[in-house]
Amino acid sequence: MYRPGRPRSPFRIPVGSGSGQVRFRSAPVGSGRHEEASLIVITGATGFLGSHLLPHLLATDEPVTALVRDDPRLALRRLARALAATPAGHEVLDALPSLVRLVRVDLSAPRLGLPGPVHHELAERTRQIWHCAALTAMTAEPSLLHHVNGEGTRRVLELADAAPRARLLHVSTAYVCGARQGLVHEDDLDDTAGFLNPYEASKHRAERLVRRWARSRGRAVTVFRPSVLVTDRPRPPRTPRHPLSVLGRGLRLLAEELEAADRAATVRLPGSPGSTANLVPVEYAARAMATIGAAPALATVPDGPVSTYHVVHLHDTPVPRVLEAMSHACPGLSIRLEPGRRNAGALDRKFAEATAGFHRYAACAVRFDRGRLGAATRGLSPPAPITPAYLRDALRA
Amino acid sequence: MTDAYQLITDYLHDRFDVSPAEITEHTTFDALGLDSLDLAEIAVILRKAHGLELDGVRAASTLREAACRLDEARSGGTPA
Ligand SMILES: NC(=O)c1ccc[n+]([C@@H]2O[C@H](COP(=O)([O-])OP(=O)(O)OC[C@H]3O[C@@H](n4cnc5c(N)ncnc54)[C@H](OP(=O)(O)O)[C@@H]3O)[C@@H](O)[C@H]2O)c1
Repeated sequence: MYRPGRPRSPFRIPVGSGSGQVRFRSAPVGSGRHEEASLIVITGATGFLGSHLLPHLLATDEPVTALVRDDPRLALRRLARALAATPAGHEVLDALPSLVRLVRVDLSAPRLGLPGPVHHELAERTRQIWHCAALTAMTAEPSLLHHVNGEGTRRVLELADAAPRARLLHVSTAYVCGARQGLVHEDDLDDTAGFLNPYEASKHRAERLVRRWARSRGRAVTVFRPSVLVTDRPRPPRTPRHPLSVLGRGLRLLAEELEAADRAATVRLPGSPGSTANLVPVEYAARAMATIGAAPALATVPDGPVSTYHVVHLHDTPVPRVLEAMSHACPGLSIRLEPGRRNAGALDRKFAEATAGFHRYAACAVRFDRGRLGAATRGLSPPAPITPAYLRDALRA
Repeated sequence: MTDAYQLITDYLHDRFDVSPAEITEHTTFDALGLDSLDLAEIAVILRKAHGLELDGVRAASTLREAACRLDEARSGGTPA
């Protein structure tokens, strides 16, 4: 990956060197940003959340380095596409190559797959590390989830270890609470209720690693726990998907099958009319996280040096409202909630496959305390409740 | 390349805004930023419009591999 004999600085390598980095040609805005200033480092910038977060990080005027897994030129194209789909992304698109430096890493390799001196130099200059990358497919192979989400986090902690000035901002998920019901506080982290899928389990383990690391090193860490991140804006081709867009696509494929078979169908999901989901617009979530990241880390919080925020909507969305929008996206399909467990039939299994694990959430009645989030983002207006029209647009995206 | 290859690249252009400059036979769907859900959509369209199955094609497959699969489907089976 890295060729010895190249210039020592990771930031002075020519375009296409194959070293895993892009040396961007100078541009009026931001040229020189990377020469000496401290850095904001982000993993997962090409993803749904990362691409919404990045314009906020760039607004700090500090140089940003994105750790990516693709060849940097390919990653730059993906990043540009992803940013173009975000509300604030257009403003940074033209100057993107001069604003963001892309460094190719292997998230699960020692030192992120970087040579010692490169890793060291990156770490020395880093002021913030935003760890956003994750494998987010809920029903992926547990070993793969563990590899990316667990080992990946371990390697990011290794970078943080080498970066004594850096504050780590770790993106977890509200659903590290697994199958718990009732109110979950921002400092809670227990696995006694089990998990609805291997993704949740892997994120739970990753958050535990982060907390243990923070306590053992006495280092300030900010943990963000977003709920389900969504948007009602249309999704251009080849841009990151959000969970409702994945669901919508699965439903449309199912609709094609039902149409081909010329039949209507009913799916019965275990759940009750009182079930709720917490869906939060990504635009708000990214702004809230950036606001918290821009303020100094809390010095003393109940849970040692870790401050955790449930980045969630003030209002839960009733599951029946989501199901209604889903039926709309899949004509011919009616979805019913039934209390208790039952044996799944062939259609239920097909539905589970098409909806990538969503069905397990139809019985959720968990609520997330957001006291710390509210206090830290007082100037931000919380988003409006999620309406049926919003859901239909989000599923169409 | 074959008609099948042309069919795929035309579709990538029309539906996914993929420019010819981004493509070679060895380009993978993944490298173009397409995921398994996009492939599922392509499979449905090919089935509906041409009666062809795009079995065994993944995001990591190259366009050439996908075209070969389509050619096989057209000729009625996998060559020995
Ligand atoms: N979406 C939600 O509703 C939601 C809710 C709660 C928490 N979260 C958390 O928020 C974070 C971002 O999620 P997202 O929705 O933005 O996910 P996403 O759209 O799937 O993006 C995931 C990001 O992680 C990168 N990534 C994945 N596997 C990698 C690997 N092996 N090595 C290096 N990079 C890798 C991806 O890079 P490529 O572009 O190269 O694939 C992409 O940039 C994750 O930690 C997720 O757990 C998401």
